[in-house]
Amino acid sequence: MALKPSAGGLESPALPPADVGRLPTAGGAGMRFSLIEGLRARIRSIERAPVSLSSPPADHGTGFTRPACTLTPWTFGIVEIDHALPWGGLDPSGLHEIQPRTHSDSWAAVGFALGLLRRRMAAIGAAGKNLSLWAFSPNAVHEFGRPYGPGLRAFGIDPSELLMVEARRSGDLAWTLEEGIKARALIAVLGQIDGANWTLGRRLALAAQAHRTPCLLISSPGTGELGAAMTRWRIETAPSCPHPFDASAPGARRWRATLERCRWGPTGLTWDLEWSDDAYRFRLAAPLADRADDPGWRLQRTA
Amino acid sequence: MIRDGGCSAPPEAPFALVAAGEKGITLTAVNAAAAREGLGSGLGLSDARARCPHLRSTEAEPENDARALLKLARWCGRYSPSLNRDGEQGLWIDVTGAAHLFGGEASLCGDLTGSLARFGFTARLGFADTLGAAWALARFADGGDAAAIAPAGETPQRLNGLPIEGLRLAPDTITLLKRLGLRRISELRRLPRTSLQRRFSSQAVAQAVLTRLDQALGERKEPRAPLTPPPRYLARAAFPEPLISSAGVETALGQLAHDLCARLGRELQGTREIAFTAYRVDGSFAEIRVGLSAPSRAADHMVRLLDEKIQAIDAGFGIDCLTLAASAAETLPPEQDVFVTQGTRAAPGHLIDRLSNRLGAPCVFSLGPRASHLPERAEQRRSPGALNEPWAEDPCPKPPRPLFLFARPEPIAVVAEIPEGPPARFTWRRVMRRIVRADGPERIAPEWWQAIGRSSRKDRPRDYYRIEDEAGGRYWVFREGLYQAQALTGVPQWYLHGLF
Repeated sequence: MALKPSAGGLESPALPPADVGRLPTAGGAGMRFSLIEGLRARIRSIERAPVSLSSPPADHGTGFTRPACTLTPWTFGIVEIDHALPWGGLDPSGLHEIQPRTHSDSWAAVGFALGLLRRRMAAIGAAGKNLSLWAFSPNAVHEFGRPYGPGLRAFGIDPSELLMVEARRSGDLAWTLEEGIKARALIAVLGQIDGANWTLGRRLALAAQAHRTPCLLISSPGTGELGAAMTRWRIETAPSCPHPFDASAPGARRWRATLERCRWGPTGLTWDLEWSDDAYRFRLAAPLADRADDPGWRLQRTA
Repeated sequence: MIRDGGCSAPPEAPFALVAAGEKGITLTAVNAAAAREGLGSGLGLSDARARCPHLRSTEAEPENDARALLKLARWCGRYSPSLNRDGEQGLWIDVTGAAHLFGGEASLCGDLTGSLARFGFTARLGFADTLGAAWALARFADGGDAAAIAPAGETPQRLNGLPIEGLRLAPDTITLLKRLGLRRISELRRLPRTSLQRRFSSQAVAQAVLTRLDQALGERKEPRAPLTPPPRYLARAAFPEPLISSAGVETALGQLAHDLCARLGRELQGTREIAFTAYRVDGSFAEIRVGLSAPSRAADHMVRLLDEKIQAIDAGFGIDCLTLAASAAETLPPEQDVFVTQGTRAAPGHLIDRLSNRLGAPCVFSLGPRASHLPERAEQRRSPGALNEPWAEDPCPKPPRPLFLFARPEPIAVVAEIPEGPPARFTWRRVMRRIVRADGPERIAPEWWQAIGRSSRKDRPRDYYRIEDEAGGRYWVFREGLYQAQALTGVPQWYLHGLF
């Protein structure tokens, strides 16, 4: 669908014409045209088509007036990624799944999610508290340790803005996530869950859409995909560049993020992302990263 | 109210509870039939058998009696929240302002004696303006009826006819008063206070007599310590027909919460804790307590919190009384809560309450800073109600800290190029990881004020390294102990403490 660029993003949404027969038309062709236009608009509204602020996809016919986006966009801050996503970033009222490639990538996936959370906090940026919820299980604490407040500072997140929930049973964890979304008091909900299934994904997605609170779900590697997620990212760690002032020290943390699923958008794209601990933002890793040209680095690791 | 309960003998047969004491086995309690035979507590069992050969007896169980009395006291909370046990055999209930809920004092007493009789207790009630007078009426009032009620203002007249024992005095004081010829309270009241004081050898005894007399007459306040501090706000619903379904309880709960919140709202108060109590017809009760993270007077919020636990209430033979109490009230200024426009976010208090209510309060927390340079002590769990203080900037910036920290550092097997250097590879959870980059060491010494009095082996300095394996995984490892001090503190050991 093609979108006519509008002057600003704050105009009232152009509602799809409910009764297209009454539209003034010059003749039969025009009538049919406007009928098709109206139906398309209705389908789009039913499907809740994404609203792109930055990249009008060009694969559809004539222009529609773009419905204004009333929600704060949730961008990566990287033009390449934001343009590839249909919402000009992540959907701020949707479910996003983040899956580590292997067990050893699990904490990197959490880091990626926290980076996104920081982007969201910075975008909302209102005065006062912007609470988010982070729910995890004792099992995760046993596996990877407990979330550590001073370490969260590297993501620019004030730990007092995170509501931590440790839920013993997976049923309680799912309930916590759904309650968090429905409370309308949080800017995002982050969940680490082992046994995510289709029903849970669907429930969370519907709640997130209805209550306009996004949910980031970090699933365990190897589980099936959640059908209702707006996007699905597969995260693995990547070797970092050397530190600029100390060649033997690790540099900025780096992830290889693959967009495996994206509703109304492209899939299969891969980016090497870095997180800057000072600027609190993502950046694309330099294409000529250290050892990136070595095709066997992944093989060595698995061997 | 005197309770002689728990006997299996027929009520018309003489029966006594006995306990082994200093003077052999003595009676501790007797039933009405035994009392008619002239038996009383304190009598030896053999003497009692001589007077009354067919006396049955069983051993007294004071602990069980005390437990039963406490249970009964809790159940009596349906009449008024202010009550407590009185000695080993009595209960007092302050029904000030509550009698009209039961249709007046007489019908309240009728309800109470009826219920107690149904539970199998023989009870006597005294009802008066003061605690002392009620105590005396319950024990020494004439007449065979179960309840002795002194109408409002007539307490002194009712007291006049009672024996001097009704003043809650020590036994030797009573003996002394009787020796002086004072057998009734009226005779004591007729005496001038000054001359009364002169008759006693000790000032303290005279003061005790006068104090008890004044307290019984209501001329001196008597402190009362209730079982639980009575809530300032309480809503109550009684049902002529006992509720047996949870649907009925839910309906009543909605009404109770509405009443309670209306009262809180009138006085601009909010509650931090609510207690929902269901009194069953069989004398037992069930209580649900819910804490709130912030003062609230939102009825629907209270109902949602309690709804989850209401299913756990076993209605038993039916519930005939429900109370909802706001036990901790705080000032809550009025706030605009209906005109919330779309896009603004709600306050998180309700969410925190619901989460901690279902998952348990320790499971819902936020992280707070703590002044310590030991990594595992540098943070603490806070209750999420204290969310308002943000973390201050670290005055002395530290090297990067991990995202996840193990509560107990996990031992790892390390191969290092040089003993004092970073690891070249290490094995953690049976997986070998080859290290490509390393940063460090950062030496963190134990806090000396913690180390006083402990063995030096436990307080070895740690050298932390931030390392990255060839796949990009980052770890925070440390070597505990120094190679120079090996002889003193043992061989240094490696641990994994965190993950980036």
